[in-house]
This record gives sequence, structure tokens and C-alpha cells, in this order.
Amino acid sequence: MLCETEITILNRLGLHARPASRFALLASEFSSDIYLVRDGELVDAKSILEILTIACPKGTKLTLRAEGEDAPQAIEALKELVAGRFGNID
Amino acid sequence: MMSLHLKGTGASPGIAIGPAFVLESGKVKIVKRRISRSDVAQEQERFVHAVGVAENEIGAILEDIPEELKEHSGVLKSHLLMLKDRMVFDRTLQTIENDCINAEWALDKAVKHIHSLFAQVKDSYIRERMEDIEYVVKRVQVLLASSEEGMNLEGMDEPCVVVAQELSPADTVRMFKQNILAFVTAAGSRTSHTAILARALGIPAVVGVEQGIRGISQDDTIIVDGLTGDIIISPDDDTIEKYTEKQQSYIRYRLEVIHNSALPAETRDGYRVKIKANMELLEEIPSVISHGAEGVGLFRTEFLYLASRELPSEETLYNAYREVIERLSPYPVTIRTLDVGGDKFVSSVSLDDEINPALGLRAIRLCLKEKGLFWDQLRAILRASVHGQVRILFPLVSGRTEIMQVKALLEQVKDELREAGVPFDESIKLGIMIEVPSAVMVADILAREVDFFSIGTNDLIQYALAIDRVNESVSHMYEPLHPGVIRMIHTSVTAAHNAGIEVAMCGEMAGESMYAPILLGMGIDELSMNALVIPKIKRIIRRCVYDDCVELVRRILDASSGSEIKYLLDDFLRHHCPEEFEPLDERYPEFMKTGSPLLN
Repeated sequence: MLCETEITILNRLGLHARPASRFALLASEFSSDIYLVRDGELVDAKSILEILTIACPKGTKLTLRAEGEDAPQAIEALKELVAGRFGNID
Repeated sequence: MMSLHLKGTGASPGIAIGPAFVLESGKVKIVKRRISRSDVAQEQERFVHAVGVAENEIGAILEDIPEELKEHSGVLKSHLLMLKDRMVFDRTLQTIENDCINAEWALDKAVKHIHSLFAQVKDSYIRERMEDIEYVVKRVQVLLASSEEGMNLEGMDEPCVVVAQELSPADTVRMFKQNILAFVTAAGSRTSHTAILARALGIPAVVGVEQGIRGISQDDTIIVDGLTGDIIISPDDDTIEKYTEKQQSYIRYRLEVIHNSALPAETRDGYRVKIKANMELLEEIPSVISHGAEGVGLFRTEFLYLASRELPSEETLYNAYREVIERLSPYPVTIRTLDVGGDKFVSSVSLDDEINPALGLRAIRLCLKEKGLFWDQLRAILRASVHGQVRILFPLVSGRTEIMQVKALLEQVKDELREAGVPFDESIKLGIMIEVPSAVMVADILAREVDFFSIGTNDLIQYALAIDRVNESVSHMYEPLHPGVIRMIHTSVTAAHNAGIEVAMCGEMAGESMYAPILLGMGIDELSMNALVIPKIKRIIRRCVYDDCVELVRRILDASSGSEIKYLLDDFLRHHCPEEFEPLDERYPEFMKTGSPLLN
């Protein structure tokens, strides 16, 4: 199953180390392959380093894509994390 | 062969002549070799194992982080993720298999790849995360290297002069087990840990070599003068002879100084002062004892916090304190609680950048905010207090409220220990540093709440005169003899004695021999200083007459400027201890000429 949604980074400092590590950690809990796409560049959402390399400041719009059995659940959980500004950690 | 002359900062006096042992610039040497296809699985296993060990190390640290600092554990958690990130972990395993190369090489390739991706990131904060990756990877590289033969210290069998770009405290300590004639580092200052350790062990050292160390090759004969900072590579025979003589006369000089160290610090008319040492590292203990200290007047506790990126556990602290206390027993040890923030950066406690760190969240202020960290330290000190004589000293106290907060917290820690049946010294003495001008103004109030004062002159002078010593445009106005400073010290001493408590001084002023008559005359009960200068201070005190010093202080308190005080003091020294400022100069002109503070 393939699911996709658009997300916007809302927290003040953007997708820096700590949010990226939370994102990667949560993504890793799902069996689906999960990707983030920014301006056509696709990275593995389970890799903190790959997420960091696409450097997303506040306001960045990204496509979140999941492919696999638990894709809808993954999309739902990750979307919530982003919308909740990663638990307001900065 | 042409000889080459380099100049650095003399950081530990003495002269060494011997072969150079050049260490790679503080980096782990990455061994690169090809492996056969049949060894791939084994090599991958070696890598997985090293990563596992690194993971466990970080995991153990995370478990030990106190509740209050949990919010800071994010960095470590991201390190864990980075270790297992597919760009590091999977890619290295893949490269070992595809390229048939060893784990170190494959890991290095993976890091270089990440590096190239990060270099393109515009956000400087994210680009700097590369440091974190390098930090975790370096740990794995070290683990991999130690599982193979050939750590970089092997081959250091002969006595040698260690030459390096810089040395971490851990490197330095590890090397003291070896046969070292001297240290030369391209980086560093007189107060870097290599310098402190070298002084403690009486090994000559030169740091901060301006031209760098590229001119020094393995096994070059090299002369190091730890007093002047001179380094001569491939010297001719005449130079070697000259320095051999200099070496001999320095050794005679040190022996004479040490001979004096065992005598008490007593004036001619029988007035006795306690002379103690300031120390920070366990390695300094032998030097503290051999130089004649009657205990430790200032045990700085920052080192254990600075040595690693993580907070030290209560057990680590307890063991270190206990060792110092036991080895110094029956002499007392005054332990100063964590004095960081400001200029000293502790990576284990994350501090926001402050515009004015000297006036910011530091020392006792930081400890009262980060209570978990403070709690552990107080527990460790109290537990260690049963092993000898211990006093606790709190830095940067500005008024009574802070003392009351500290005392209340300390009572809670004591209660916890009592409930758990853990023994500690119930009558442990508490003191405060006098280094904030407001504390001087209310010294009479503060003296009612504590058992002793210890005057920290470095900060007191800086705050009182509003002078930043590091700022070259105003540093010449940093005047220890300013009437304002002299009167503050006097006020503090008087307040302490009126309340019937002891007053010590542990700042740099205590270790400058020329100030000794003033401090004696004011009635300071204890002077604590760098162990190396103790013999000289003792000798000055033994030449003084207490009543004359009291008279000197009386006149100085009336003086209207620093230069007037300097004039009165110089006059006093010329009349009362002329031999102290001349004969040594004649006998050891070479050393006196340098005017090095190391010989104070």
C-alpha cells in the first residue's frame, strides 16, 4: 500500500537534530518504507543523517510517503508528530 | 645538519635533551588494508561488535543521567541513532563486502560520503552536526583500533620528548606511565591540562609553539627549555654542552627549594600561617606533598566534569574525592563545589550562550538551578568526608539568601544519607568564597552563617575594578594593589575574625611572594597556592617579622593609590628581606633573567 501526504515544518528551528532524531526514531517503528521528498529529492525517513542533509527550516513543505502494510498508520503518526511541533522541544 | 630553533610558552620548568617522539595530530590512525573475500564476514562482525560496544557506552551514560538533566539527553540519543543510521552502519557493512576492505577503511569512506553531503547544507547549525557524527565515529574507530595491535603509543620504549599537535587530558595521563623527558605541544597554554600535569610531575613542557611542530621529525635530537619556551632541534655539540650545564644548575636549584619546603611557615617572632596547595588533578598529589603543603586549601572539582561529555556519576566523584582525602590525610582538604559557567565550558551541562558569562549563570548559581547535578556532588563529598578531614567551599556567593538555600539543600542531602544509614562527617565545616564585591560589603552577616571564608582574588579584583584581564585594552588596569582591593580584603578578614571564624586566601595573590607581608599583616589564617611556589612563600614568611607586617598594613590602608602602596611595599621588601630578592639572582642568573612566573 502506498500513502502520501503533504507536511509543513512548524517548529521554530526547523527540522534540526533533535526533531530529526525523533522523526527517524518514530519512522523506524513501522515496517513500511518511509520517505521524505523535498523539491524532488528523496531521502529515507528512518535515517537521521539523510533527513539532516535536506535541511528543512521552519515553513518547509515536504511530501511524506510510506509504502507497506502499515503505511496509513505510519503517515498518521508522523503527521501528528510534525503538527505537534515534535512535542515542542525547542 | 642545520639546527632549528622554535619558540613556545614555557609551561613547566626544567631542561630536557633527548630524541623526539612525534605523535600524529591527536587523530586516531586509520589503518587501511584489503581483506580477502573469505574474511568479509569476520570483518563485518568486528565492526558490528565495535558499534555494539559504543552503543552500550552511550546507553550506560544515558541511564545515569539524573532526572533533572533528562532534557539534555537528546544529543546522546541522536548519537545512538547516528551509529545505527544506514548511512553509517549499513553502508560500512556494504562497503566491507563490496570493496573487500577492512572495517576502519570502510567506515572512513562512509563518513567522507556523509561529509560531502553535509558540506552542501546551507544551514550552519545542521552542518555543524557533522561534529557529532565525527565524535561517535571516532569512538568506533578507537574501539576498532584497540582490537587490532598497534596503538600509537607503542614504540615509546626509550626516554623521549613527546611532540604533538595537542594532547587530551586522557592522552596525557595515559602517557605518564611511559618514560617521558618533556612535552612539546603546538597548541595549549600554561593553564591547559598538559601543562598542569607536567608541572605536577616536574616534567619540562613547552606549549603553544608559534611556528608549529612540522619542523620536528621522529627521533630528531631536541632540547626543550620549559622555562623560556625554547626548543632547539638537531643542536650542535656546543649547544648541547651549554644546556647540559643549565640542566645541572636547575636541578641544584630545585633541590635547594625543596629542601626549604619542609620548614614551617613561621615569622621570626613566631607567628604561624597555614600554607596549603590548590589542586585539581589526582596526579598533582605527590607534588602537593613534596612541596610542603599542610593540606589542600582549594580542591577544584571541575576536571571530572570537563573530562568527558557526560556528567560524572556520584560514584565517580566519590572515588576521586576519597582518593584525594585519603592520600592527604591527616591534612585537611577543602573541596570547592562545581565552579563552571562563565569562561569554563562543561559539555555535559548545556548552557545557553550568554552575552556576559562572567556575570551569568555560573558556579553556585548554576548549581542551585541544576539541583540534580549539585545533589550528586554534595552526596559524593559528604560520603567521602568520613575518610579524612574535609571542608566544603561554595563559590561565587553574593549574599545571605544563597547561603541559606545551599544550607537547606545540604540538610536535605544529609537527611537522605542518614535515612539510608550512610555515614558522613556530621560536623563538616562549610565555607564560602569571597569573590563578589557584595559579599565583602555584607561579610559580617555572612560570617555568622559559615565556618570559614576563602578569598578568591582573581574574580574579586575583576569584579571590583570592572576589569576583564583577558581584554588587552584594559588588562594593565588589573591592579591587585589598588586601595579598593586591599580594603576589600581587609574588610573581609576583619569581619571573619570578629565573628570568630577563619579566613583563607586561595587566589593568585596568595601565591605571589611579594604580597605575603601584606597578607600576613592583615592576619589571614591560611594561604593556598600552586604547590610549586610554596617553598618560596615559606621562605619569605620565615624572613618576616609579624609586627612589622602589621605596621606595613596600617600604612598601606591609608595610601591613596596603587602606586603608593607599591612604593611602600617595595621599600618594606628591600629593608626586611633583601636577601630574598637578590642572592638567588646571583646564583641562578639564567633562571631569574627570564622573569618567568613559573619561578615565583
